[in-house]
Amino acid sequence: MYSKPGSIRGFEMPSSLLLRSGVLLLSILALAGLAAPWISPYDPIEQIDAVAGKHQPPLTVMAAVQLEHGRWRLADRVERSADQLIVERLGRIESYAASEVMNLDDDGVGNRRVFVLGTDKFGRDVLSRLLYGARVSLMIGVLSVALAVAIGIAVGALAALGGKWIDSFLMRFVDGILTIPWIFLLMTLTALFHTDIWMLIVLLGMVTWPPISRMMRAELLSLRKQDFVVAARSQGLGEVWIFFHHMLPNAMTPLIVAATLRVGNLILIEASLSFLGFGVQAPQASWGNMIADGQGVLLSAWWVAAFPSAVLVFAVVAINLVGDGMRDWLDPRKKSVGEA
Amino acid sequence: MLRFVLRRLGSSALLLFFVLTATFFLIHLAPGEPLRLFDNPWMTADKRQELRQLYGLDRPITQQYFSWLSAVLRGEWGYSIALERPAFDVLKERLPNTALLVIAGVTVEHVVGLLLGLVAAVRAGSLIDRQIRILSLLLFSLPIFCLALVAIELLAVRWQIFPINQMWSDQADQLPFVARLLDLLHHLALPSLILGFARCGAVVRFVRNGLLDVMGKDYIRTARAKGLSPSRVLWVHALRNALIPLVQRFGVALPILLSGSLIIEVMFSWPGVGLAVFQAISQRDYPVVLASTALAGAMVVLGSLMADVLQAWLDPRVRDAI
Amino acid sequence: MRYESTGLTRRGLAPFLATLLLAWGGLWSACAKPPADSSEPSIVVAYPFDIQGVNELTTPSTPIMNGMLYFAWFLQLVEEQADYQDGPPSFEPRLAESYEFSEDRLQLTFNLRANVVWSDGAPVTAEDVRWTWQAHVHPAVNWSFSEAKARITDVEVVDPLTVIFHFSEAYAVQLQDANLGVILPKHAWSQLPFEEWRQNNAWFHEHMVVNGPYILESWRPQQRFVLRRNERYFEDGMPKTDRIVFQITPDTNSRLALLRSGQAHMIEVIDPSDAAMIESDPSLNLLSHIPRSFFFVAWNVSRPWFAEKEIRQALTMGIDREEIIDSLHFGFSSPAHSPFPSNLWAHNDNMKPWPYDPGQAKEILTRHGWVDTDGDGIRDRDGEPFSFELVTNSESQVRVDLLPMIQEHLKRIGIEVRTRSMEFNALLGPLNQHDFDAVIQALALDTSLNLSYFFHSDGIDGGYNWGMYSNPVVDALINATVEQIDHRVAKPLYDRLQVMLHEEVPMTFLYESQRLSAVSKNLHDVDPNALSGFFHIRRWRLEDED
Repeated sequence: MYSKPGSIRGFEMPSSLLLRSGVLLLSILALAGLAAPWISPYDPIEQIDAVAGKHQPPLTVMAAVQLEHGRWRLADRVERSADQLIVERLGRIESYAASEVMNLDDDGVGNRRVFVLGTDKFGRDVLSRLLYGARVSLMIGVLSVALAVAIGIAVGALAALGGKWIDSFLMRFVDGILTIPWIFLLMTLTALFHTDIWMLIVLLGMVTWPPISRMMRAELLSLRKQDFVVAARSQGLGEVWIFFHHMLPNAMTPLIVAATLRVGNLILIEASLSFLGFGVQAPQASWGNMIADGQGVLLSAWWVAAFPSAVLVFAVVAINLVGDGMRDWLDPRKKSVGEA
Repeated sequence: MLRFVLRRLGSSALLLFFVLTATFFLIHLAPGEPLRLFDNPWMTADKRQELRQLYGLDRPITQQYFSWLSAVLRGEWGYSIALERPAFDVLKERLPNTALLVIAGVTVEHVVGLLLGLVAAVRAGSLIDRQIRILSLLLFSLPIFCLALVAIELLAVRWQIFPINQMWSDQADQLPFVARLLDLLHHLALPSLILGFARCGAVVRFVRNGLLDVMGKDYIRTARAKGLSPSRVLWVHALRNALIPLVQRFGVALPILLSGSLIIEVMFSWPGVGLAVFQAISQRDYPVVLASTALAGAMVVLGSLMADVLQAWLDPRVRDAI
Repeated sequence: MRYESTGLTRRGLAPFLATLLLAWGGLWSACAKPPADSSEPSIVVAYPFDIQGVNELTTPSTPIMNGMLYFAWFLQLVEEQADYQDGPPSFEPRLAESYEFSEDRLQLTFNLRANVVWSDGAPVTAEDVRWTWQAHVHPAVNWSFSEAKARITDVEVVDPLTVIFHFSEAYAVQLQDANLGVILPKHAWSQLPFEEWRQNNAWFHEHMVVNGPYILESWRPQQRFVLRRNERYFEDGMPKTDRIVFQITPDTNSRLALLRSGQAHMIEVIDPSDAAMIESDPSLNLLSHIPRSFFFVAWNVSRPWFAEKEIRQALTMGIDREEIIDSLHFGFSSPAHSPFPSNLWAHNDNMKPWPYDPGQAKEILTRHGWVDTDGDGIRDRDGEPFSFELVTNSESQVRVDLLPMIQEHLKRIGIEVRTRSMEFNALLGPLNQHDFDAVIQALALDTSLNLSYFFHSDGIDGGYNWGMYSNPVVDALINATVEQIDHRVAKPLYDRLQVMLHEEVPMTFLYESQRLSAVSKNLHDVDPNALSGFFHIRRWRLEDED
């Protein structure tokens, strides 16, 4: 396939299709996250009845009875009689005087809750949390990788092209950073500082750049000896020009693959941090802490962990499709036809 | 090459010193102190101060640092405050267990990853390629504890094929050697398979993308144009070059593996370093944390050195650069 | 395609994967047969913690300490019982056959049993008791509970079977203080000077000599430790079981899996959320008891929001404890109004917990000037919003779950709560330095029922009075209860003290929760109680009932 132009094109087609579908999936997720306040059915941290609403399976519909002082009761069934409201809740029959109920209407109560993806242990709507979690998880993943890539490129390029001493120093420095178990570093730092999402992004970015810089360096060292770079240099072109026009674009390919993988990876790191209590703090939702919430009830209330896991996998898959597609799109092979 | 290795080792030792120094101050400045372990309502402020004195924690931090440093230079890593035994003994005891788990996990990861990646690259664009890519994506995207929970529930609890946790059966030390070995493998199987499969997605991608990348490079085309047999081009030229990033990744992966096996160690009660370090951190058991940082550091330094040597061996261009 | 020569087929991934899995599976399945079952019947306990040493004096006060597993290895002089419903607990003879106080209560004499020997055959004598006391109070050993021995001036050996504890003053819990700690083997352990104890924990394990029902057969760190019958144990027919295995299993789900698959017989503590599963399993029993601890939200009274007791009352009335209990404890607890559990003699039964009454809470807040002037839904006073941070330690899932619930409840009455959970280790610093707004915690009581650690102004420095509550009347009442030797005189004082604490609300007592244990049906005579989940472990026996 590598020699036959036809088969290259044959691979190109589905890959651009993959890129497009990846971009589509990702934009759906990102849009869903951005639009969460308008499209999510309920408030993601609202727990109106943590007892009756607890761990309700997907597609549960419940009547919402509003009482005094902003209290709510979720009921399987309500029935209106002349001066009271009969409520079936938790398998028991309760009754409230009509004057106690704030949202009474002719047949019962004026509000109900539809839990499309079920509820968690506090009776919170999983769908709403999923949507709000999308913005948090995606933002943490993308921004911290962006930070890590920026640092990684700078350090890697400096190491590869800056001469022996700088290289030696930077790489030992990278080794050093890699030596510290990241989970410990993050735990210590999040314990020292109050963690909000921005802090978390900075911390994750600061901890995860070294592998990228090593990769960048290895790639550049290898490229430096390649014919087209040597040729460019022999033509008297400047190092900086060569770096930006020949080396960086060629080094981008593996970098994009790696960065793509890292976005998903970081969402997973965020998940394990949240799992340990150091990540996104409750009651704010991230996919990570939603999965952590549900992992103890994987058997009895599978939907709590299953939906965020599924969306997480979905997102990482989409991100990877984009990465794959970009890789083929940016592939120097196609451009190098003209250069060679 | 030898000079290169020696120089690297020298500068690495210096670096390790800086890392340990940083860690020392980081953990001492982190909130909490090891004496919380002994805390109870009977504790008066005086008593706390006495305990601090006993462990030398009442001195200024710089003084603590220099006495720690001079002990380390004599090869003494201090005593674990929680376990009250030499810190290095604790790690020495745990290291083989983690090494076993990690090696088994990495073996599974790379054997599965290499095979799948190779097949996918060779048959790029085909049905099998797409299936492998989807599978590796799914494995890569699945949190390891979900995989482990499902595997434990099905394979260990429901069907009872594998033991739920631990490294040895009760009274395993009374068994003959072969039976003991089987007992160990029996316990090792599930955690290492989970660790390997959860991580192999990335290897598949690396191998596949690396191969495809290399296949498109000029020298492969040249080799092909020279009429070399396709399988020779694949196995000798392409695969070797495609493995370079993988080797790089391997060196970098060591510390990630150390902390990555942590969840598995906790879920399977595997008596490894990860579990010990995790506990030491939450107990602020400074000597154990520092000794394990040194250990992890030494492993990473050696790992990256090995990766560089291997890379040089695989890629002559880098060898020349060294 | 030109690489068909590599021998890979076009049949898709499934057969390939199957072959691969089969290869791996084959390798492992050869090993997947359990080894020949040489093991004798043993009780297996799935336990989350490892022991950290066999010498309780130098081992940190880990949960194992609270579990009192040391009692499996070493005898105490007498054994405290959990029969404290109508008065202070009684004490059963153990190493001591009997004990008596002198007229002035300044001397406490123990008469030791003649037939108790160490597991190496040496007799247990009064010398062991005296030497153990010396270890308790030795500065180099620095036992973290040594404060309990502060008023013991000497331990005098009269003859090998008689020992007298001399006290500097008479007080209520002299017997408890004298009895605290297990009796250690002088002849074996005195070979290591006290000065070297703190760095040689392994030494004690290597030189382990016991006088209790069990010896430590083996100990693989983070794997398991095994108790085996002490053949020289003095009680006839005890222990009932030859071998007890503690399988160290930190993960909750793994512990449950071991129990449900029959590979373990007991879990000391299970979450209320798993109780239904245990109850529905025909091979398992659910046991419950009320521990001697109390759950609370402590308000830092030095913060502007919590200075007035009426506000603290309003906060208490704003928390829907019934909902918390139903939602997080599945009914296995009840609202509390006192630090004392309801089955304790000192508990005031004539009181009621604060009701959930958001209406009245709002009224109180408004009356004290906390009104929402800027319309953001949060009450404010003098430009300061009623917005504080509630913290707890992240190790306890129930406490972490409490955060959003209390946050939601207080939001309904116009108070903003920011929540934060952190490691207990990191939390204790701010608590001891009083650098927090409000905290959810639990504390345990000991037999002395000494509340000064928690509510006395002396407990601000050194004790656990994190919220800096200080009230001379409460201080005086606590002093009076602690000094009172006769519990019948102390009872009305305790009652008044509880009424004061209820009115003053230095902390909001949340609920009294049951501690649940899960036990396999063929394990008998397990009796977890407030003193220990492994109480009378020597009586446990494994027997299938037909």
